[in-house]
Formats: sequence, structure tokens, C-alpha cells
Amino acid sequence: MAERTVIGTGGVVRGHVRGEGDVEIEGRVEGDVDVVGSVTIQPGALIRATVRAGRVVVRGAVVGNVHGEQSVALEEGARVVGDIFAPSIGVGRGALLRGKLDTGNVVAVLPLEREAEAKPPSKRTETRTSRPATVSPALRPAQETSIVGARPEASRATLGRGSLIERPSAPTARSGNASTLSGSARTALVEPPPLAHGAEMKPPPPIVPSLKKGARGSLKKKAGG
Amino acid sequence: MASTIIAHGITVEGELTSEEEVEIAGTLKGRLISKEAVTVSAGALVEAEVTAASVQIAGQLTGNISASERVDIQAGARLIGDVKAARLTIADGANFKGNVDMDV
Repeated sequence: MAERTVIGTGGVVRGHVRGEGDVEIEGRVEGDVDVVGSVTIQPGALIRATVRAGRVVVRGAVVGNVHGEQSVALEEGARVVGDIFAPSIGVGRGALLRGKLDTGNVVAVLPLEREAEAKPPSKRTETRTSRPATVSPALRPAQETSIVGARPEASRATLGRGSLIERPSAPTARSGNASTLSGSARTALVEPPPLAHGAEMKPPPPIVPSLKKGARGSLKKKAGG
Repeated sequence: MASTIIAHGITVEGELTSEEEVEIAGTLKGRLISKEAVTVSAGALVEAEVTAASVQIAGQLTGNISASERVDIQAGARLIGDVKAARLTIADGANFKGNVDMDV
């Protein structure tokens, strides 16, 4: 008795194939395949079905969507007409595909650039009075959430500025762990506002001085030029 | 070694047709048509009409069997359905409820 399910070359299934285990298809399937485990579609297989599995390796013909909980790999000989959904998708040389590849949550870089531009002005106002500081949290949380949600590590790479170091601490500031550290930085610059807001605004201050200089310089240049 | 194997843990609902041998160790609901031998392993659950050259049952099968050659119901098997085959064996310890037609 084999643990592996094989739909042989001469086998045709019209219906559903479900369950736990690995399935290897060399024949034909019309319907759907929903398996916890791996599905291998061998060359010569003809599948007109939605395929759902943990891991899918396609080397044959599939008309239908392919969903992989872990991965989907299209190898040479694969001919797929349908969409592919998996966190990890591989399309090998020689594989033919007409459809959409979707790995799930992909966030664009744009929101990060917006935040970089927004930060310098807000820091300048902080040093003057404490009031604008209350305004910036309104701006920052929205942007911070988008960035935090979208991989802080990626934002580090793209911006390459000191401000990036603050971002990973931003979520921790919210959780309250880094609040004491950022709180001390905060008091050095501005009168401490209510901690709830202050916690969100704390990350920027340490790098603020250098940025402010540059921002002021650029302002002067703009005013002068 | 059968060409088409439905392993334990896998359920096929629908029609399974094969040009070659079929071994069912899992669950099959619907119809099973083969041009060669069909084996229903111990632990398998088949609720289907079976048409094959020959059928060997060690598991549970609910449905009629139509075999062109022979049917063997082994010990531990449970068959509920009619059998139409040229040759038939029912082993001691097998469980069978149905009609038999050997005039194929």
C-alpha cells in the first residue's frame, strides 16, 4: 500500500480529489483537486481543474487556477492557462503560462517617500513650539502604519537615511517598550506632551538635529535663491 | 503495482476511469471503471458502481460490481451490492450481502 496517490497515465478522474497526502497526476483530471500535501503534475497530464495544495509542481498541462499554500513551481513542460496563487512562485525556463501570478501582499515603495518628505518639516516645527508636535502625529501614524505594515526592512534599504533607524522603533514605541528611551530624547528637545501621543512621536528626535540643519539650509537657499 | 492508486487519506468523489489497474486504499464515491484489475485494499471505503475486468475486495465496498472475468471477496471484506461475474470466490471471514449473477 503506497502513501502516494497516483492518477496513472490511463486514469481519468471526473470529480473532486480531496484529502491529506501527496498526489501525482499523470493522467487526466476534470473537476478539482484540494489536497493537504504536494501535488505533482507530470508531463503528459491534462488537468482541467482548480488545484489547491501545500506545494504544487507543474510539468504538464493545466487549465485552471493553481493555489499553493507554500509554493508553486512551474517546470519545463508546464503549460498553464490560469492564475497562480502562492507565497513562493517559481517559473522555470520552458514553462508556458497564460495567467496571473499573485504572491499575496506586495506593497509599493511610494508611501515611504511621502513620509521622508513629511518628516523634516514636522521636526522643524517641533523645536520651535510643542504645538506643531501635536499636529504631526496626525500625519505620522497614518504613514507609519503603512510603512510598518509594509516591511520596515525594505524601507531601510530604499531610503538609506538616519530616519530609517527610527521606524523599527516606532512599532516598539507603540507597544510601550521603547517609550522610556524616546521619552528622554523627547524631553531634551520639547516639553513632553501626553505620553500617548509622545510615544508615537519619539522615534524622530535623535536624528532630528542633523536633518533640521539640512532642512533649514535648504529653506534658506530657497529663500535666498 | 497498480497504475492508478488512491492512497489512504485521499477521497475521490466522482468518476474514476482507467485503462490500467486501479488500487483503492482511500475513499471513492461515485463510479469506477477499469479495463483491467481493480483492488479495493483493506481500510478502503468505496461507494461506487464498479466495472472492471476483475475485482479483488479486502475493504469495504457498497455498490454493484460488474466484472468480465472474476471477483474475489477476501477475508475482512465487506460487500453490499450485487455481483455480476464469470467467476467468484468468497473467502471465509468475508461479509457479503447481495445478489450473484454468474451468467455473464
